[in-house]
Amino acid sequence: MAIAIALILIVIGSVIFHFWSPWTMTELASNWGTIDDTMLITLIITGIVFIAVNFFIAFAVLKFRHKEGRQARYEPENKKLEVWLTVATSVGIIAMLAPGLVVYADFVEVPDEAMEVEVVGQQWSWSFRFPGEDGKLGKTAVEHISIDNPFGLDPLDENGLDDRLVQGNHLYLPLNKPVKVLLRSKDVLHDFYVPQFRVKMDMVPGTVSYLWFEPTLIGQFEILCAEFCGIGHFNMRGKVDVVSAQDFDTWLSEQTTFSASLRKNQSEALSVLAQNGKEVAQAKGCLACHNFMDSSIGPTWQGLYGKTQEMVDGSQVEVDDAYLTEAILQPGTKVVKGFAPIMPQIVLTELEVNAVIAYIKEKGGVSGQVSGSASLSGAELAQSKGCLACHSVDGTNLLGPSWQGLYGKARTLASGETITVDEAYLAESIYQPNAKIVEGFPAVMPPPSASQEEVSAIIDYIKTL
Amino acid sequence: MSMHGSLTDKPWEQISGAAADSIEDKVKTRRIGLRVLLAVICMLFFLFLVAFLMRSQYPDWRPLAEEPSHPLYNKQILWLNTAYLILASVFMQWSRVVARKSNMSAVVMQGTLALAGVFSVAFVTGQLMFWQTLQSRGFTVDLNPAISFFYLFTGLHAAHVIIGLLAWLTAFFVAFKRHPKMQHYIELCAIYWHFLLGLWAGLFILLVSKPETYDAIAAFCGLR
Amino acid sequence: MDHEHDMHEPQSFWTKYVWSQDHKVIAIQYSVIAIFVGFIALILSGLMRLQLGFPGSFDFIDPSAYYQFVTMHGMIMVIYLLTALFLGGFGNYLIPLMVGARDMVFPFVNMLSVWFYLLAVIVLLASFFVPGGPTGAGWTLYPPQAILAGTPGSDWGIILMLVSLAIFIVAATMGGLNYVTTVLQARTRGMTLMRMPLTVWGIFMATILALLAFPALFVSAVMMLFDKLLGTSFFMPAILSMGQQLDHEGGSPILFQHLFWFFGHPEVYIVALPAFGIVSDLISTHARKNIFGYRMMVWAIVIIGVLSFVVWAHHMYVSGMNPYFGYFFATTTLIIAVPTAIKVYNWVLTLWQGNIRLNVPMLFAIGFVSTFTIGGLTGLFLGNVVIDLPLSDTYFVVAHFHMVMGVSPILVVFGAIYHWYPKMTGRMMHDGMGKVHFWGTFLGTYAIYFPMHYLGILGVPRRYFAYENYDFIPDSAKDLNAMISVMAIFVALMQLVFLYNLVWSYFKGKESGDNPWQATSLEWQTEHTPPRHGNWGKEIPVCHRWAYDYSVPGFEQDFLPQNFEGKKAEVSS
Repeated sequence: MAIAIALILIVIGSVIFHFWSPWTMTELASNWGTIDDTMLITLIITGIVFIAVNFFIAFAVLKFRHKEGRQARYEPENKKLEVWLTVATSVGIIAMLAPGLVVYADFVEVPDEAMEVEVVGQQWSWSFRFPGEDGKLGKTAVEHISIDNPFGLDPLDENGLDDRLVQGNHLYLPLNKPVKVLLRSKDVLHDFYVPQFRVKMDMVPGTVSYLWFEPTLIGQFEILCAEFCGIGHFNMRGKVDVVSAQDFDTWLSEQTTFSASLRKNQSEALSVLAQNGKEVAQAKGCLACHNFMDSSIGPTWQGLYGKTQEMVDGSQVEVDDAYLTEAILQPGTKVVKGFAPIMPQIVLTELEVNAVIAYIKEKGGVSGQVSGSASLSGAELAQSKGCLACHSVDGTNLLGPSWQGLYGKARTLASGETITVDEAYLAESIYQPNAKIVEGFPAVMPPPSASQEEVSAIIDYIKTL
Repeated sequence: MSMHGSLTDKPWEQISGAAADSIEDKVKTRRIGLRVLLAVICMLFFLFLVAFLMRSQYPDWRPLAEEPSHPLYNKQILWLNTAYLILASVFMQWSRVVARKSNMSAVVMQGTLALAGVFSVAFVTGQLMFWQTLQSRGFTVDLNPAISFFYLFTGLHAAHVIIGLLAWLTAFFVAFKRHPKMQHYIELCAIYWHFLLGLWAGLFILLVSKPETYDAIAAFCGLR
Repeated sequence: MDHEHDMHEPQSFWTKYVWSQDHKVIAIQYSVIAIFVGFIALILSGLMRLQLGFPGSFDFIDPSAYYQFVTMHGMIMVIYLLTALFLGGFGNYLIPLMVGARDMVFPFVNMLSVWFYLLAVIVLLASFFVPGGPTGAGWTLYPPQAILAGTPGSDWGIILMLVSLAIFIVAATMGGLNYVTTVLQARTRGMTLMRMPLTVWGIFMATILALLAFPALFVSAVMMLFDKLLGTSFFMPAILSMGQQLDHEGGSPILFQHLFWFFGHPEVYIVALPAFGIVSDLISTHARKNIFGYRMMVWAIVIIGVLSFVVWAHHMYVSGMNPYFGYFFATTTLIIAVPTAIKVYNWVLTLWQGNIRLNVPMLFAIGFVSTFTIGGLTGLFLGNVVIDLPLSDTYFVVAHFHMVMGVSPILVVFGAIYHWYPKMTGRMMHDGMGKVHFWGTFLGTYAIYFPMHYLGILGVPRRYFAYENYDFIPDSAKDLNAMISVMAIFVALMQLVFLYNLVWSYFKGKESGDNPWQATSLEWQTEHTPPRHGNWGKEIPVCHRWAYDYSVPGFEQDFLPQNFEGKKAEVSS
């Protein structure tokens, strides 16, 4: 009895809640009104079923609850009724699915006139890339990512040289122009999500996914990460401004191109021969297995020249011109211990071999240089490097210690030691984030890609807080 | 009664203890239990196979047996191990056939059963030695995905052989004591060993196939 | 482990209650462990809700702890509570009794199963005490972040989690072999497949799903362990972690997701199908009416079981997989709604023209139909690929799956415990406490999850530790969150009533007799209550009819037990 009344009240309450609740969809700011329409169709159909089922139960309970002398009807099945219900359900399902698939076809097929923009996710900040005048985005790869090249653009791909790079979690898009958003992640899964645009898609390291929409409303919207990406997930914030086409063009022309940023960071002063060797190494595919990082496939070229290597057979070999020439031309004869003899034989001229050796010597011998000038203020840098995802400036503790009043304060480290926050400590904490952890905070800060000037600008900024 | 027939019965229409098809029969029950287990193991390896094929479509895949520098190009040890496993299976079958006879020779049955176990141990040892050879040649498990799968597949298969050997120990103990149940135990062991042999054959063929074969299968299954 | 034990009563305490091979004791061991870890998961959810409802008020909940609570809550509830309780608990207790067998066909393997399960639980709980704590990767454990720095418990926690899952899968497989083979081989004379109660059908089909789906989880767990411990690249592409390039190359995180959901979706039905079966029997028994459309119900169980293997990627519409898969999976997903809807119709049609006794199990059964309807209907939003684009990864998803595989199966679990407790102990559970428990749980969960859908429609993303300073989330949403948290804690406290009732009734409950509900299925026809080892006396019962002969015309009593021989035509009053 009570259950029947409860079910009726639940239905009435739910309907009232639906129409009166202040928690409705955000104002639509893209072309995907069709998605909202499909949702409405589904809502109406499922709403009717919800009301019908609950009322039916309530009615049955009221009418047929236990009474002395009542005999239930014996009715194993009723073919006609069951067929009728199955058909009605199928019709309802088709009414929901068919429009859904039509709209989905629109989502999968990107219109030809859509402009491309790449969104890059990393723990826990956003960056963006627009193609330059050529309308083409340059190739990227994780192994190119460095302090000088945070997007990992391939420096040898001409299409990439004029790409406009935007760091700092703030994107601009022109009104009423379809955009195809290419999604890429440097580390873990992320998801580009702007509630007002309706569509979202995961960013998966190793592949590029996409979505498209057309902004239809001028204004500023929030970018959120919708796929769990570690403990900073809830704080991976960004902004997207939808502006007029004119304002957009002005803004875009102010952004640095890749070639400009390269020029700024020109740290690779190679001789002509070594430059030539770099091209050979690239073209012949050497760099697929050997580079200047540690690799499990082939020995690293970093600091290789002059080193003594142990071979599979236990012998020791000093790496000099003769050994390198032999190793390049007859790969199987002397294999370094810990590596499989998988290097294919490549035909190279003597000059090409010498060029590659010169490249190994010059590039591998030179350690990474610090360069680049801080043109941004400390506050801007803190925003664009993603510091503020974890460090607040207003005293609240997020993932990392707040910066408010940090400078000059005494802090207890996880090791129990107490230190005073000075410039040296801050610089160390930025370069080697996990060396000295403040008590009560997790050791999760990634070392940012920042130059010396940039770091000191950030430290100056922290001092002012 | 057919599956279709038994699923379209109108159970409320017939009364009485019809269809006495289900008096428990221990031997049959054990065999059915084993078959269900084999189905689960098949599913396990099928899913590994799907993962293998999907992974083989990525550009960093390196084949295992195409050129002399490849880890599985020289298959001598693997063929030898395969021979051990075939012998184990053959002796299992021999033991099974002997155990079925009413005038069986207990010595032959026990001897063949013991040999089956010995060759299975030889197989597992051989696989381990092959792993060591690979390691010493620099083919470590993290070198590339194909070799990772090789270690994964052979390791899991060997684990199944080892679990089988535990069952074999029980069977051998029972057969040694000439317990009447021994025939069932040997039957079950034999089925399991034939399955292990078939599984190994499939894995062996898969691992040394040409990359084009993977591409073709993957394309056929719509994985590309 | 053979014939010899069938008739004997084990003697010592140890063989009778600890190293027991009796399916009923094993069932109770399974249930006690499952309910124990379930309460841990319940407490974890309470802690989560404290943070969400009253952000910043509880210092000990930092982001790491929050994500660890979320992960462990989800994993424990889905695997270690629901799967273990439905298959290991109810499956073990009911299958042999309902099909008229003396025990499971492999009692020794059955005993191993429960001990492996206990081991899995111990390994899982041990992760709370290792450096770094348990994993906080979310219950889906997606790589790469599950095994990289930046996620809580990415060293010890994730390893223990994967190992525990692997052990659980071994336990579930050993149990599953028993349930399937027992149903196939140990049915009593006359117990045709189509005479089995729907409870057995549901558990049988769910077990088949478990046997075929858990290997996928095993595969993904093993491969992820390789990636974590041996540095392979099954799932790990070339990536950065904390600014450092890793040695991995070329792996595919999406491959993991495919494997995980190939297990994960059938898992939903591994939980749902036993609930479907049990609730059918509860409704039929307490409405004193045969289940409506029994054959349709069986076919629906089979069809849902088969289809559940071809819908997995509807969890991955926004995963970055090939978008063309969306068409196929949206279609299969909405097709599976048809047999599911038919089951709902048949439950409510069973009530129609019945003689409904509104006792506690029936209340829970009705509560199930109502909450399951909501959960099923909201599934139609998420299954329709294009509507999933805005709603996925929001609180709409959280509300949906809690309704469909949290609240509704748990209501069935409670209903089933109130229903079969008399058989297990010989005593009735206290009716008043049962009703308090029902109303608190049913209305409370409704108040939690119905409004939660609207947070999702608003666009609030899930797995967020805090929601401060997001402009599109109005302040009123914070009040709603606080209300939900209060209700969640209220519902959690209501479960104490249930626990107290369990213990109180064991000692002081009313004597139940053999068949207090006047039910037809065989478990109520045993010679002793609770049934002794071996279940039946000297003779195994013979089955003469289906399990739903309630209110058969021409009989004075309104139920005919399955072992009752009389023909419909012969006897009349």
